[in-house]
Amino acid sequence: MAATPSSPAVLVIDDHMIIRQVVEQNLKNMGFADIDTAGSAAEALERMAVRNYDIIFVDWIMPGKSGYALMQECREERKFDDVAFVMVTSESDERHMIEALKAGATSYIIKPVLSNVFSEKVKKVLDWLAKRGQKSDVQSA
Amino acid sequence: MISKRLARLLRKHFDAADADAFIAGLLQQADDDALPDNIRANIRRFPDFLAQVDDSYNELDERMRIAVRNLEMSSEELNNSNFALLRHNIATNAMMEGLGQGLLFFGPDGICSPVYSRACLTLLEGNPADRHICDILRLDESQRADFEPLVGLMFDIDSTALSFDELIALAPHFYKHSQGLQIALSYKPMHGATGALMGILLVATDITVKMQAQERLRQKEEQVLRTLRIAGNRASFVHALHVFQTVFDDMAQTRDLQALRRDLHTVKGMANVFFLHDMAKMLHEIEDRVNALPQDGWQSGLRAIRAEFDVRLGLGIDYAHWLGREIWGMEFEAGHDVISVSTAELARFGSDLHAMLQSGGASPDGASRLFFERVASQSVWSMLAFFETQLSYFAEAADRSIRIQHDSGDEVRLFPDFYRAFFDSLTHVARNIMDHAYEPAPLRQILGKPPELQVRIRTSYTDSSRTQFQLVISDDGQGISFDKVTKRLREKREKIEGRTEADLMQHIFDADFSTRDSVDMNAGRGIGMSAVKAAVEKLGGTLRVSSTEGVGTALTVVLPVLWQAHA
Amino acid sequence: MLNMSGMKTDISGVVQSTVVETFNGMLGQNVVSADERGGAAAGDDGRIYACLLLDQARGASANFCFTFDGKLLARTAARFYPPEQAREKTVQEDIACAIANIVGSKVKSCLNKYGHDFEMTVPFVAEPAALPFKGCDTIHLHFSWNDNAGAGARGLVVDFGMDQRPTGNC
Repeated sequence: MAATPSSPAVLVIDDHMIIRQVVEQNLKNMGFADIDTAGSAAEALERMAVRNYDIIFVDWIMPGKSGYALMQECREERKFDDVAFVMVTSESDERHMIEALKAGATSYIIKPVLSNVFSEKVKKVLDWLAKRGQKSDVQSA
Repeated sequence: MISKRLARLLRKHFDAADADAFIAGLLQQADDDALPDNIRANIRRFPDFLAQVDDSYNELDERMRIAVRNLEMSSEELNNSNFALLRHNIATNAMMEGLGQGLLFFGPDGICSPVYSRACLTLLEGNPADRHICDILRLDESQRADFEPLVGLMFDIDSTALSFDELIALAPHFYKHSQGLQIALSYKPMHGATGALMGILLVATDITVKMQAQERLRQKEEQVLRTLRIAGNRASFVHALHVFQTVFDDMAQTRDLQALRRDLHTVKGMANVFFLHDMAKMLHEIEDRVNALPQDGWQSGLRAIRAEFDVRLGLGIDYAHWLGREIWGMEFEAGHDVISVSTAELARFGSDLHAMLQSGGASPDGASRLFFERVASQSVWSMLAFFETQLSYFAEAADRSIRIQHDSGDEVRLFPDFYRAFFDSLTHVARNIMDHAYEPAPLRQILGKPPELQVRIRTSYTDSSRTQFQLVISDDGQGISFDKVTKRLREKREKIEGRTEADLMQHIFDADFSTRDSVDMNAGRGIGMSAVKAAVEKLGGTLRVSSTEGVGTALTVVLPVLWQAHA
Repeated sequence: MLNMSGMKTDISGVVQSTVVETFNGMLGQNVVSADERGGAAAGDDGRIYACLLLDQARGASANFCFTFDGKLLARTAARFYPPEQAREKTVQEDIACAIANIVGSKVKSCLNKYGHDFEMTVPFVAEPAALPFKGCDTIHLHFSWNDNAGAGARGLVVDFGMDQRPTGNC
C-alpha cells in the first residue's frame, strides 16, 4: 500500500546527477520527505520492484532504455494506474508533449526546471492523486 | 326603457313591433281578474325577467370585452418578446460577424454545432456545422492522431494533472488555407453551470495583413541598410554597375569561359556587399548553370542561359541604377571617376614642371611620372577602401570579429583606372580570409592569439626608383594546411616530388583549386584566387602566398607603377 | 540553401535566454549575457568543455561547443552538493553536460521549426586539443558572472556552427 497522500512516495529518474539534485531540492522545499532517485531505467526498475511510489519523475532521453519506454511499459500494468508519471524533458516540441501524454504521462515539466513552475505542476499532480485516491476508495467500498 | 336588443328579440319571438306597447299590453292583461292568480303573477314578473335577460347579455358583452382586451395584451407581449429576441439575435450575430473572426463550437465528440459565425465560410473554407473538427481544420493523419486524444483529455480533465491552457497549447494553432491566407487559431473553454467543460470555442483570425506588414517592415530595414552602404561607397558602386553591365554583355560574346566564370563570381560578391541580394541570388543561379556547361560547345549553352535570364538581369541592373539616381540624382554615374587635387598641389606641379622643362632635363617619362605622381594619382589606400569594406561586411554577416590594421610603409600613389580589375579581384581574398583563416575565439585564446582575427595591410615601393610597389595582405589565422594542398594536388595529378613546400603552395592560384568541398552562396568555388592571379599577371606583376598552419597566411603582390595603359 | 541571418538571430536569442534561465532559474546562480569585451578572461586551468552535434539525414549539420569556467561550475555545484563533492571534476562535468543538453535541445527545436530534421547527440566532454570545430562557428556568445572578488568574470562561452555541407566537419 502506497504512502498516504500527505507524504507521497516519490522516485526521480534522470541520468544527470544535477537534475536529480535540483528536482530533489525542489521537492524538499515543498515539504516532500520520501524521495528516492535513480540514474537509469534499469536502476529505476530495481527500485520499483521493492516498493511502490505515488509520483515518478522521469527524464525522456537516457542512455539505455528511455524514460518514455519505461513509462509506456509501466502504464500497461494495472498497478501503476493510480501512479502519477511526470516527464521531465528538455524537448519543448508539441509533438513530443502529445506523445508523452498519449503514453500515459500525467504531467510534464520542461527543463530548465524553475521552482515556481515546478511547485505549480506538482500541486496539480497532488490534486490528481487526491481525486484518484477518492475514486479508488469509492470503488473498493 | 327597453334595450334595443330586447326589443329585437321581442319583435322576433312575439311579433311585437313596439316593445314598450307590447309589455304595457301584457301587463294590462295581468289586471284581468278572470285569470288565475299564479298566471297573473307570472305576467307581472315578465319585465323583471326581461331585465335579467338584458343584464345577462350585458355581462356577456363585458366578459367578451375583457377577453378581447386580454388577448390583445398577450399578443402585444408576445410581439415585444419576439422583437427583443430578434434584437438579441441581431446583436449576437453582429458581434460574431463584426469581429471578422471565424467562431465555432465543438463538443467532446469533436463535432461542431450549427452555431457559427459567417467568417468561418471564408477563413476555414466551408460550413463547419455537424462536421468533425479534424475535418474542418484539414488535419493530416499524424495531426489527427495527436489532436483527437488531446480533445479527449481536455474533456476528461481529471485524467491528467495539466490545465486546459497547458493542453490547448499543444493544439494546432494555424490553419493551412488553400489560398495562402495566414489563419491563426485560438481556443476558449466553455463551461456549463456545474463548472464542467461543455464545449470548446475555436476562434480563427486572419493575420495575413499583420504578417504582410511585418514582411514589409523587414524589407524597409534592408532598404535602409542598402542605401547607407551604397551612399557610403559611391565610386565603388558606380564601378560595380559598370562591371554588372560588362559581365552581362560578355555572356553573349565571350570566348573565355574561365574568365567569365571568374567575373560572375566577383560580381556576385559585389552584389552581396551592396545588399542587392536578389541580384546575388540570380548570379548564383547563373553561376551554377554556367559551371554545368559542357567543355565543348558551351557557347550555345551560354547564349541560352543569357537569353533565359535576360529580363531578370536587365531588371536587376535597372533597379541598381534607379538606386543610384535616388541617392545622387540623374547624373550620378558621371563625375564619380574624379580625382580631387588641391590647388596648392597643382601650383607645385606647375612650378616643378616648369623647372624641369627649363633645366633641359625633361624626358617624356620624367614628365609623365611627375604628372601621375603629383596630380593624376590616388593613394593606394583609397583603392583598398572597398576591400576593407568587404572584409568588414563578410565578417559582420558571419558574426565574426576581425581587426584591420595598416602597417607603416610607403604611401603608394597609383592611377586608378589601370588597377581596377586587380582591386576588384581582392574580393576573393576577403572571402578567403573570412572562410579559411578564421578560428573561433576560444581556440585563438589557447594559441595565445588576440580574440579578433588580425588582418594587416602593408604597401611600399620596392626600391627608391618607385617604379614598382608591393602590397602585402596578411592574417594571423589558421593558415593553409600543406597536407590538404598536397592531397588536392595529388588528386589533380600534379607533380609533387622534388619541389619545395613554398613552391607547391603557389598552386592555390590555379583555377579549380580548392581544399574546401562546400559550395554555398559565399564560399569559394576554387576560382577566386585564380582571378587575382589573372589580374596581377595582366598588369605584368607577380604574386606569392606564404603560410604556416596555425600561425597565419600572407599574400604578397608586386605590381609595376604604371603611367601608361597597357596594350 | 540556408537563410542564415534570420535563423542566427533566433538561435542567438534562444541560447542567451536558455543559458540565463538555466543558470539563474534552475541552478540559483547570477549569470548575465555579456559583451565580448566585458569580464576578465577565465583562467587556463579548470576549464571544462562540453560539445554536442546536431545531425540530420539530408542537409547541413551543426555543432555546439560550451566552454565553462571551472570556478563557475564549482560554485554551482556547491549549492547542491557537500563541499568535497562539489570540487570533483565528474560532478562539474555532469553539470556542464546537463546545461549543454538543455541549450542544445532548445536550439534543436528552434532549427527544426525552419524545416530541418535535426537529431541531437548526447553532450560529451572534450579536451581542448581535441576540439573538433575549427573555423566553422557562426555564433559566438559570452556569459559572465560575479566571482567571489565581485568582479565580472567570463563564466561561459558558447560557440555554435552550422556546416553547410551534407557531411563532415569543416
